Amino acid sequence: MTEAWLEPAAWLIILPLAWASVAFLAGPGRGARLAILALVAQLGLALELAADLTQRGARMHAVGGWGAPLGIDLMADGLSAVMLLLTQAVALPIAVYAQAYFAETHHRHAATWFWPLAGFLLAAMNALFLSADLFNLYVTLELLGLAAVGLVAVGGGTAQITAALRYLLVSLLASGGYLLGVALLYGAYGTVSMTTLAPLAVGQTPLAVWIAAGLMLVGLLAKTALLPFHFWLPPAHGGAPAPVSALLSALVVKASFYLVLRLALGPFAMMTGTAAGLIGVLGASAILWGAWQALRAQRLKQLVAWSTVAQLGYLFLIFPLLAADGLALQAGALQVVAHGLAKAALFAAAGVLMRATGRDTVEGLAGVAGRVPLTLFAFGLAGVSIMGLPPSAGFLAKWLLIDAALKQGQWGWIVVIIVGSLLAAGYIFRVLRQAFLLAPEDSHFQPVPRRLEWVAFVLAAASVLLGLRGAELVALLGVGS
Amino acid sequence: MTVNEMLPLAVIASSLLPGMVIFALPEARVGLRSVLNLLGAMSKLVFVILLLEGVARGEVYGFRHTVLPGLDLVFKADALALLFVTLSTVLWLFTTIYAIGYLEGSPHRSRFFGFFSLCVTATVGLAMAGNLFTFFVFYELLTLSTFPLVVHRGTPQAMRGGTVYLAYTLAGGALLLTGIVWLHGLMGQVDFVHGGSVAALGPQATAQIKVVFLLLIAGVGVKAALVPLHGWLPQAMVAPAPVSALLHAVAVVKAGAFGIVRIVYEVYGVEYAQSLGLLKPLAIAAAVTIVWGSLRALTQDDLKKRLAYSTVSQVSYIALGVALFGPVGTIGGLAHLVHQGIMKITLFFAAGNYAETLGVHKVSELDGAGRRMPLTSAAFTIAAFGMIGVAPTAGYVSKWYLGEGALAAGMDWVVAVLWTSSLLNAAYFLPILYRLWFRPPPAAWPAEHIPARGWRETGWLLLAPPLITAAAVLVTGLFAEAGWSPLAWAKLIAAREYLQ
Amino acid sequence: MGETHRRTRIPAVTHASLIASLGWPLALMLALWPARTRRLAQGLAPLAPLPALWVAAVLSGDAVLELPSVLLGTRLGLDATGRLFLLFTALTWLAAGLYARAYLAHEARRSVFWAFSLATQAGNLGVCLAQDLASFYSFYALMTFAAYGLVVHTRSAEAWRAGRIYLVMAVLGELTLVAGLMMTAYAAGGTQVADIQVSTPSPLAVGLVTAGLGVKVGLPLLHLWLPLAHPVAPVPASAVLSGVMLKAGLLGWLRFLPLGYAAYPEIGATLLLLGLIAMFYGVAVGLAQSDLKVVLAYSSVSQMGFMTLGVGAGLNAPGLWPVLLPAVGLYALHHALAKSALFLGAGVALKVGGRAWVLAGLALPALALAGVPFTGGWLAKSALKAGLIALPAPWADLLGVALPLAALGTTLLMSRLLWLAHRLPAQEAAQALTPPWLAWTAAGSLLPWGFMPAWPWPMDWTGFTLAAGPVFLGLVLAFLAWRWPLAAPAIPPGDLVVPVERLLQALVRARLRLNRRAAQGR
Repeated sequence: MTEAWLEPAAWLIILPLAWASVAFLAGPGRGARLAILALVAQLGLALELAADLTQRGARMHAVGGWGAPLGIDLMADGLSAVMLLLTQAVALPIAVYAQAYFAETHHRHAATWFWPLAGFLLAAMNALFLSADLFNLYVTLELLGLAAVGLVAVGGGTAQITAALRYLLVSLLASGGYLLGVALLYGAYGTVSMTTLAPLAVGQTPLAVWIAAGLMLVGLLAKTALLPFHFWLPPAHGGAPAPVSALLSALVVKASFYLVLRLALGPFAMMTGTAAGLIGVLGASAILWGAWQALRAQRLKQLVAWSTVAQLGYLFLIFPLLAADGLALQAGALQVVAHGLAKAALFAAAGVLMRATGRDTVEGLAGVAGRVPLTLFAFGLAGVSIMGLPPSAGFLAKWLLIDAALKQGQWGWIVVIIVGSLLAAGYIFRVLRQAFLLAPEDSHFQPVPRRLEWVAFVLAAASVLLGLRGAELVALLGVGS
Repeated sequence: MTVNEMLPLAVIASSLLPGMVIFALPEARVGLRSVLNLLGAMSKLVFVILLLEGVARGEVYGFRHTVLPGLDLVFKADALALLFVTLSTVLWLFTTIYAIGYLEGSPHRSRFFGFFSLCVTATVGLAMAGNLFTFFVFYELLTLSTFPLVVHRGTPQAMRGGTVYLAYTLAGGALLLTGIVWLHGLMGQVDFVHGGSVAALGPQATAQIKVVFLLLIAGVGVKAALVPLHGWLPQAMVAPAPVSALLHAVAVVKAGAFGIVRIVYEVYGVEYAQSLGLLKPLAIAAAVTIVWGSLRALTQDDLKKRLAYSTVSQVSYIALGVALFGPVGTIGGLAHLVHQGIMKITLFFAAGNYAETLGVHKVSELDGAGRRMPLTSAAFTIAAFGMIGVAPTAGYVSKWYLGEGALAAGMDWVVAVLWTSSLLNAAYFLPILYRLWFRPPPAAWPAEHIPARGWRETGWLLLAPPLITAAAVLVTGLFAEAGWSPLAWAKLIAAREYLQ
Repeated sequence: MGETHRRTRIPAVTHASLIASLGWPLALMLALWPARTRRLAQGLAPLAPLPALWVAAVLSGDAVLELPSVLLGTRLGLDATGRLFLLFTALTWLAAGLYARAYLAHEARRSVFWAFSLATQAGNLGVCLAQDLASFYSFYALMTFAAYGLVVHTRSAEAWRAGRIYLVMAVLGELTLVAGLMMTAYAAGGTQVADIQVSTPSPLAVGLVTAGLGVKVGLPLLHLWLPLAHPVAPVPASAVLSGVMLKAGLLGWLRFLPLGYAAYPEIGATLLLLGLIAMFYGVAVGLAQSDLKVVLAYSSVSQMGFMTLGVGAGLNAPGLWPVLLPAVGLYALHHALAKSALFLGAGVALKVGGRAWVLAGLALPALALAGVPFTGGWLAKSALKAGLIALPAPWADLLGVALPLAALGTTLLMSRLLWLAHRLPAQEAAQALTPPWLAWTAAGSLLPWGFMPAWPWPMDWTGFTLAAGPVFLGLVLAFLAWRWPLAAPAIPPGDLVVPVERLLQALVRARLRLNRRAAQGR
């Protein structure tokens, strides 16, 4: 056991809080450099945590020393480590991106609160992944939600404020439902620790527990924007500035999914088992509906946002397929990571494309391939992962899903997965195709900082190349489960 | 990592790395880009020669990397892989030279050559794939890297062609994936091994195995342009000539045909496929494609479209050879993999020269082009005779072995198919030759343009590749029984395939 | 190939000669391309057959060149048949070449003619040397496709039409030949002539080979191209087309049919019947022609019928083949010499008109064709007859009647030729053309004597009567026809090709209409 003050898990929460506070104090639009430096450190911490977990091979990595005065118990296993890694790995490049993105004068006002909010967001998220009891989880979830709503609103436009308010409403209702469920559970069993709850909620369970599970799950599904609770997502993600959209789509929705997964693997195994078929059907509908909407979207960021709705659907296909062999769980984790990286890349690329064309429509992309080829290449690479083409991580996720479905003889999901991939190809290539068209006579392109392009490219390349290291990811995931 | 593991990777890297650098190069760095391209192509050639020499000696080259538990990327450079790798590598070199000349002064060349390199990377990766999964990885990579090339011109027709191309190939990829996953579910990882491994599943899985075969063949059949999955190929002819060469000769359709070879020989095993009765339908599908493609080619006035339909027809010779149970047919099919490549690339180079130098795109505008561009037209003529199967060209040799293989397999009707196909080939190629050589040239060409560094009839970068490949058409046919010929290599493969 | 390879010591000279005999014409052809060497190449082009002639006439016995890595295992060499064919092929090309030099003196597209002519020649000579089917087919294809350039050389409307029909039928023939050869090689287990001649391919294979080569030979119904293509070509080209290139098909039969080894009674009977039909059909249609060269072309159809009879008899009764083979060879030699002389003479006649010395020069080979005693034709016909009458009934009796009748027909056709030549108006004297022609006519009359088969045939009066009688009768009939002319029906050259062409054109038009309608519908 390392010394408490060297504990990486704790610093993963403290660091972002610290730089967020500094940025807040420093005033509007400042703090970018510090944030980037701190994020490098955070990434290192997450890597160290992961290496630590792999080495010790401990079933559970509980953190002591901070428990008593703060009332927070931190714990980490393979799944948390994967989520933490993903969070820092996406946040760092996006921060680099944001620094350049908000440097432009006409974005200054949008940048006013970006850095403090982003810091709080990351702190909340890291804390969420490291929390072991339901109440702490609620706190982090609420914090996360508020920070996210704030980020949606930083753009300051009417549409953005409206979207933010709608998001806020959903977020509050959902966390309210969750909190109610936690209270009911506490009433039934007298504990909110997941570890202690897990063996209790089996066999004959009181009705209150069922209600609690229902409330919590519905709340979390709404936060994850599973169909039919998806309505808030496209305007919120599609309307925010590009770095914000990237953070929201790549990371924030994954946090609530992570919670659902935790609950399904732990205390609510029985409840989710009962509702698994329904959740799967909802996921399948999300895949098809989201892709369909993306195919029809007029605006580029709307298209990407709808793609998020569809891709989140895949995450819920794992519930009917959860089995002892762990294939579905691995599929889910891989999909989270693949989508996280790819979607961040897509939004980053979309930001560049919008910057270059000065427009947000798919139509307006004609001829852009010749102007920002690197970005377009990044868009295509990220698209590879989204479409689930090899050798990307997205492919591995879908492969594992299909494999799991095949092993259990559930053929229907396979059809959905393949059709969903083809539809995804449809909307990705809709963009690429438009970009390859000859530029119309009257078009004029703005220059775009190279840094924005490279960030998009690095994220996209990571989402594809990760497919070659799937084995390591799966091994890390296996720690503690 | 041993040398035997490194070499296959070196072959892949020798086009991947230059490609990556080229993507990042500014448009104006023409010289550096050309040097990188050629350096990549040459170094790939050197690696391939090392591999060829080693494999002929009996060395085993391979590499395995675990992606997920139970899912490996496997590379193996066996004799069959090298047949395709060598073809792609050599033709890539010529196509690159040609493309440098062809695209001189046109925009977006960094992008073009970047994807160009990716495309050949995918092709050699696919050729050296050691299991179905790896094959699929590169099969899809090939789709993705060719799309930007097909739509390179950015015109609405190019977009239409590209969309059709994508729709077909991605759907084919989905079928292939379904088949692979299904097989994976039945028997775990499916490595390519001599004699196949599916037979081990036993008789109770026969029905499933047949369906999987259909899925796999349909999946690769899209790229191989088996009728009725061929619709994309004539549409994709809107691409610039070097890309057509790539699609028709170096990479795409070949990848499909090569997939058929691997699936029949090294997944199912030819004996087992025959015992399941799967080869006869394949032979019939190939025969239908051969005749149908030629029939459609007859009525095309657009030169490249005519050539495209001709490819539909000719590539199925390979599938036909595979479907003929027995070593002789195999030899014919495999040799045709190479022979068709060099013949078709010559034709497309020549077609590109007519378009680039004279602005001629249609057969009906070719009158007298032989007098204006005698060397290009001579190359075209040799390749056209090769397509018809006139001795002593390469096309004759592969047709001969296919015919002998059909007779040995007791499928005499295939000879009639070959007869019909040759007749139709003559019917759509000879009129072109007639126009080239015997009709008087027009007063003015549609859009004459003589490249700067010209060599009598056109730029020498455009002229040298078709001349070399046309010479190869003659030489590979004339010295078919020599030890270094594609035919000899095909015999080596057939011997290893049938004597496992 | 049961026997072990005979390791005869073959001097390098042999190999060099064999290669030179094919390489020299091709080298000359390539030398026509660069402007710098063009004049030289044109000057040397008539001498292109000399190395081949050297090989055929001088080179000793086992001249074999094995190139196992070329094509499907190439073997070039000479056997008795090949030597004979090579000899008359090379000689005829030499004569035609010398004639062409004069003929083309004022021709602008001289080098185009020479290029095609040299390529055709290389193919034609190679066919004679090929001892395996792949190289045979390669040379055969080279000859066929290059000859297209000769057929259309004048670029006239008739030439284009003739060229089109020639090409269509030639391609059909070659593809059929290849299909047949595939089957034959499969049955024989090898591609060497030596293997094939001792194999028993299926009747289908034999039929396909026969039909495929039959296009070149001009079997009835497969002859449609011949009366169109031979006359439109420049005269020296017509001479080799009709004189020696038809024989390449015949040589193919001799090489790739298991003659003398296996019996194919049905195919043999069919060939016999076709030969009979050809003999008379050629005469009948030829008599209705009014162009010298068309008459000669039809005469070729008729004459090839005689050789077809020999091959048909060989397939029918393998036992007779040892007798028939030399006879067919001799006939081929005789016809090659006589027909080329006639074509060259017709060229002279067309230039200078129907002068007496021209008519006399034409009459010599014409009489030989008719089989007048002591001509080459007489030798060939007698030899052939010796074999044919040994056929089983009813062929022996049938042929006993038909052969004299055919000789009568030939006489009539030749009379028609002379009469047409006689009517040509006198024009300027074409000195340059005359020497090669006359020299060739003289040589052609003498040469067959050197190839007399070494067995006795009936040298009695009956034989002379049977040979001379029909000719005499024919001359009488011709005289009567001259005095009291009959209105001959005008049959267009190519006879049956005309309705076939119309039918095809109608089909194409219908197809185009459909296309157009489909396009409009879209």
